[in-house]
Amino acid sequence: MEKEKIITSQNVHLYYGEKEALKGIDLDFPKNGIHALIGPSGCGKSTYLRCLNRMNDLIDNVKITGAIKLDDEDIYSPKMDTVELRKRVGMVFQQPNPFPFSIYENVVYGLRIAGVKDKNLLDERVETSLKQAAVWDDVKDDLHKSALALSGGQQQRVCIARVLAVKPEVILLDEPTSALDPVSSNKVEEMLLTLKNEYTCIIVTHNMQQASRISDTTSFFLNGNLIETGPTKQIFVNPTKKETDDYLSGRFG
Amino acid sequence: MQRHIDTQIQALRQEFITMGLEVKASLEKAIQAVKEDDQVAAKEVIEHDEIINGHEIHLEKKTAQIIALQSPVAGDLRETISILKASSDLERLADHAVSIAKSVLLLKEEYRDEQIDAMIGQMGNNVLEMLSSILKAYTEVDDKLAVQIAAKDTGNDELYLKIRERTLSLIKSKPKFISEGIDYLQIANHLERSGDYITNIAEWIVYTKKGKITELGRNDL
Ligand SMILES: Nc1ncnc2c1ncn2[C@@H]1O[C@H](COP(=O)(O)OP(=O)(O)OP(=O)(O)O)[C@@H](O)[C@H]1O
Ligand SMILES: [Mg+2]
Repeated sequence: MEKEKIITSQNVHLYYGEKEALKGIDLDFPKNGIHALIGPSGCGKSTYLRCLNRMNDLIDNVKITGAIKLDDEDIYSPKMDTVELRKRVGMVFQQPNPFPFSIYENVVYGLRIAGVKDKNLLDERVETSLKQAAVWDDVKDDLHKSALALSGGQQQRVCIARVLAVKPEVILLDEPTSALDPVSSNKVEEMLLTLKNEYTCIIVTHNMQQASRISDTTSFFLNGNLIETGPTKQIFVNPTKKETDDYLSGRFG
Repeated sequence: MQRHIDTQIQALRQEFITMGLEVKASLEKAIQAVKEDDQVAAKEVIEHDEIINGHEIHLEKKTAQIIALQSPVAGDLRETISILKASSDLERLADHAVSIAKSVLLLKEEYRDEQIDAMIGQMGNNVLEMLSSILKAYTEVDDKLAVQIAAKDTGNDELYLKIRERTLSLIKSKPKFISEGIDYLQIANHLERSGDYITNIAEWIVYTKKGKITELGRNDL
């Protein structure tokens, strides 16, 4: 049975000035689940991920062609409100980037921007989001202390709670655990596994074992091209392209 | 680029081939022992089995280590799994060689039948040929050759039926033949099963190459 697609991209090219960083990407994501993007450094994973919530718009001299749709809506259409888009497609970065204020204010940041004032609603969103991000027990007694005082792993989960607080449909994660120790990484992985039934998570990772442990589908990028995409089980056991086999087996990259 | 895992998988391959050659030697000797009623050779086959079992245990240990420590994926993973599975097929083949050798110790010279001996000889040659070629197909990861070898197994199945037919008719006409008849049938049965294990190895070669789990020429009796 064909799963419902939440994001589709067709023939996406991206140029940084003269440099073509994405060379015609056709890639769709089914609704919900965890989808891994892998490939050697500089192959365009982050660039592609940033296309999905128009973060590349913030970079000078970028040209994008092709079509990316979220729930059948062209996200590059002039009608698309990018603030609204980034609420629906949230992003978590490699380095935890909490804002220099309290944990509570970090989590409600997006809601405040959206004009939510109802204290009860804010309290409720803080608790649910921190619970979903599996960091509630760590911080519930310190909600009004600075988020900067947390460990890296806790900060990363607070940042994920901040994304979850605005109830996104898609969560983009760019190497979210590469700055974390194995225990914190593990917590983030476990958390993603609990989120995947309700959210579509697209994760860039250099950790092949992480990709194979948690993702449902895997897409392999090389040199600005999408080489192969498929169920993670198939990609890791029986990839169809030699480049994929070579990369996964550590023959290059 | 030479990877650490390459050296380790290479060592697995070598041990697998060594084990394969030893199994082939055992089976050859067992079949020869049937032909010549060679009790000494039969005993050697029985004793040699421990060495073959040792290879299987060692290969199991090494593949488990590679899986745990090197996390093989894709082609490496398929090859590692194939060696693990195919080595247990080899071990079973050696068990059949032992069983054949044990039957030699039971068969009485005076009740032997030339026609059955000839058919068993033919079946033995076929099995040995399949085994040599499967080791070659394995070394070269030649899935096409593997499929061809598996197809030869039908020859064994046909011979088995003929041996069975002749044995049963001999038993009917000469009730004293019953004990030898059973030994003959058992030998033929072990050879037939040997062909099946070689077919399994052929399937693992296909898996290594193509990633497809297949059932080659399955016509078990
Ligand atoms: N802002 C930018 N301006 C110019 N070129 C860029 C910019 N960002 C990325 N690139 C180039 O685009 C290509 C793809 O970069 P990208 O960051 O998408 O790779 P990546 O696959 O995420 O790599 P990594 O695994 O190292 O994070 C690289 O050649 C990079 O140098
Ligand atoms: Mg990147």
